[in-house]
Amino acid sequence: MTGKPIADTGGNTTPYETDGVLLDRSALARQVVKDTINKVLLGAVLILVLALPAIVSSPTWLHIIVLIFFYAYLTTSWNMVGGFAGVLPLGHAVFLGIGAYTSTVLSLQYGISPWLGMFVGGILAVAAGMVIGFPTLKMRGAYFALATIAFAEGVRVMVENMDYLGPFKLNGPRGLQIPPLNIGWPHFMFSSKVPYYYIILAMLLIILFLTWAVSRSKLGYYLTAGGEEPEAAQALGVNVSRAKVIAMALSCFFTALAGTFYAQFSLFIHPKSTISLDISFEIAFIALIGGRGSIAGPVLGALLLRPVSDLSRIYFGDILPGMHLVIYGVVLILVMIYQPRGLQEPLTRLYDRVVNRMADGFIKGGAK
Amino acid sequence: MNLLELRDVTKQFGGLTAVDSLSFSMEKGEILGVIGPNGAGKSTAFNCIAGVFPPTKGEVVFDGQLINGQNPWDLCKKGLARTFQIVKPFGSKSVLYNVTVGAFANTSSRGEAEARAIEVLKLLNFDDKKDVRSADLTIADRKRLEIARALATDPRLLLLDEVMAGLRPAEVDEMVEIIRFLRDQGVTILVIEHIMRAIMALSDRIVVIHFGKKIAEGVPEAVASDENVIKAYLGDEYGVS
Repeated sequence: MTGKPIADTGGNTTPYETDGVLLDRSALARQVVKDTINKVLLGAVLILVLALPAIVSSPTWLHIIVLIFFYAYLTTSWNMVGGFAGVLPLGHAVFLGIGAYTSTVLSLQYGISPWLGMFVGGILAVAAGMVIGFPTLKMRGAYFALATIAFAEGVRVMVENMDYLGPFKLNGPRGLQIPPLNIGWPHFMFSSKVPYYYIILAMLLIILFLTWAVSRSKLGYYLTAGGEEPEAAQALGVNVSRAKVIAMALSCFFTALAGTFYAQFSLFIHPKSTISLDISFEIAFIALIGGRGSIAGPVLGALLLRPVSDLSRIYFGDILPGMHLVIYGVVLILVMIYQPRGLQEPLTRLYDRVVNRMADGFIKGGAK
Repeated sequence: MNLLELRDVTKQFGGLTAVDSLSFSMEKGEILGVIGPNGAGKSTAFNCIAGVFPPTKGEVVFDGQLINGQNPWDLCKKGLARTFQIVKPFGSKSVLYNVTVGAFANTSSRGEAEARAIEVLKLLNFDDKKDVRSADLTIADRKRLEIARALATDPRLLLLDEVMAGLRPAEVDEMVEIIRFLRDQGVTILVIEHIMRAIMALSDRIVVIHFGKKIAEGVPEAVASDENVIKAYLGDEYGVS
């Protein structure tokens, strides 16, 4: 440590250079093997999810799986702002509601295909997100969370008490029913659950890819930096507020798309089923337990928690409605105590260990 | 031409005048030390330059441009970078990630930013730690990371806020060498520091602040033997050797 800190690189050569190179080469080979194993496993998972409807014939199970993907998608959208940007939005259901209501009103009143309405809803959600994002994204911690809750609840109460918004029929607390008249792809309406499965699967894959791309981009670096140490990030040229607003816009847009999916999937929307705090909280629960700020976290969280929610509704639905949120709370407390960065961390470590062992096996097998 | 110029900069917090019509200037390629007792207004002056808050009165001119009250991120793009006295690493991320954030100031491509970051880490002989989580670094390495990050933004003026505080003597020597090396690379450096030995050895010129006012300015030897400085800052018992 006491030597010259900035010595010429000439002094850096080690006496065991050839060993070093050899070591490097075997490490490289190991990396190649590991990459291959990762790709093969990813491919296997992809094939499995693509073939799943052929294996699972029960519509109930398929419904549960669709909802798992739906929540994985929602939480991944949430993660763009709630995970990377280091704030805690607790009112994301309002964007889900905007998406659901926009496409439904447009298709019921004007006959516009939900596929188009989906994107109109997305744009409206971005606008709404900007309205709350600009003044609130500078707040830290609980204040931003409270502001988003207040906004979402405000909108829910308004919609519940409004039969018409201008020319648009919202039908207050009774909600909107989508009559299953026009079945088929152009109308985003199917009698089987299989097409819905593939639609939400495609949406999930797209949002996962996008999250991966963002996390490796300048925006991703800036969001993480701004989320962890805003002052330091600003000093390094990061306009933290702007990065957060962009992340918020992306997050709102994709959350709203899920709203249209939900409306078309259930064919009935009302304020309590779309703009409710339950959904906002469930998204945050899944993210926090799975691991916010990571790509795998939201998916893992949805995979682990959604079945809990469905099973508790099946078995406790009559006696203890809302039991799943109680279970989530307990799980969240335990996770925050023992794995504050979410379940993705120990699971990733476990996965790495398995892959390493497999790679060792392959390399040894190849050497024989 | 002067790279940085402060003209009668005053900063008041309510009734308290933290910096009182402070003026000094820096030439390109210079290392200027700013010293003063605790609470003298060094950090406030520093923050006025770095864009954390605008001065109440006066002008801060960087490279011929008035930069009063500009945002830190805009200043960074203009070539003015800083470090923090209380280090602020992006703790959950690796050293390389931290430095890459800085390198993104001049590019949007991750490949380019990472290449630049590795270049900077090599320059500071720090590349062996590039994959270490920054929260796991020693305090000396965290200070080094602060400098590496700032350097990755390609600054013309580097503001160092007590980068030697809390370091062991051997580490201080190392830091002095790093700073000299950076100056040789063409970076102009403003150093705020408490450690007299280091700043005397390091600076081309020194500005002494006391109660927000400049009480002396000049080469280290002259400042150290200045009557006012000895009284105000070093104490009456301080023997000038």
